[in-house]
Amino acid sequence: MPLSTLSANASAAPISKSVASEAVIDRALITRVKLNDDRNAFAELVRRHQSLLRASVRKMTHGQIELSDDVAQETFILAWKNIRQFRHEAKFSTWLYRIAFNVWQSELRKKHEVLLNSEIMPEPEPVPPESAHTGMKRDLDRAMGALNDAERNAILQCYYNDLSHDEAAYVLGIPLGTVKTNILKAKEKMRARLGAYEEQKEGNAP
Amino acid sequence: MNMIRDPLDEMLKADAETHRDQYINDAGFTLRTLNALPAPRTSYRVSRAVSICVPFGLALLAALFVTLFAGGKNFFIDVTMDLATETVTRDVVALAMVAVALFVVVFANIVND
Repeated sequence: MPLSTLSANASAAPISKSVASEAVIDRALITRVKLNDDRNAFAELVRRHQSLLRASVRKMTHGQIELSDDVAQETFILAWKNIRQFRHEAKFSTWLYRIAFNVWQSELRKKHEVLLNSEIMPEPEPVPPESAHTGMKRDLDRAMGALNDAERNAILQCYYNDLSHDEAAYVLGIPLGTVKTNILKAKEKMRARLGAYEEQKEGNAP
Repeated sequence: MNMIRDPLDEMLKADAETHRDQYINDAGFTLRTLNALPAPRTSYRVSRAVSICVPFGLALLAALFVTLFAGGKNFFIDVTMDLATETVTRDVVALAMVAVALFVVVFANIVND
């Protein structure tokens, strides 16, 4: 999709002062990296974006902390190598999400190949301790388990990374219409699941 | 405006907000990432002035060679004959200089990109 659409949409939306100044700081740091290969400026960019990026990747990797940190690190390394190609058509964080998504996809492909070659069963995803989950969060997580990868990715980008549909399409590398369809399908499935849990709870209630 | 309330949408937004608000401590992540960055590129960057002056200078010299030594003969036919017989003449040297000038222009543009 044309990136100019992204910036056009972004400029149409009301941007808070703090978001705008964050973008200005990012732009200044990126310029320093582009002009002088300035590692200190890049370190500042990493510090500013590491928390959100790592949180996003953790969600993508179903909470596998070590793996998600590896993916996040690879993302920043690729950003460093390709920063001259970044033309500010999207937000820097959106660009990072796009790289992270691609790194994760190639990681998944590698894993899939290893599994096919070795026929080892995958390890079950780690389940966080029950106490850390509120009822709502647990239900949501379970409902998200019903989604296929495309639907899950669309929900993650639009809700958890707080991206517009346009930006999500850019990150996922798919048409805007597909993002919207995936969101609709995902929400339908989740509603059905959540409805079933509610019925279950009501049935179990004394 | 009459907005239809969507409980799932609200649940997702609330959960996503909690998710984003959880700050993940750096805990050495930035340092590890910086240490893993590739070494700085050896800079072969050619300055704008050099990338313009060198090819122009070479082209001028080549033109001077041709004007002074070709003696009104057909330069390109002469050079082709010289190259065919593997003879190094002034005309061949002039052509080589033009070729070098073109190479420098292309190389400078690639490096400066």
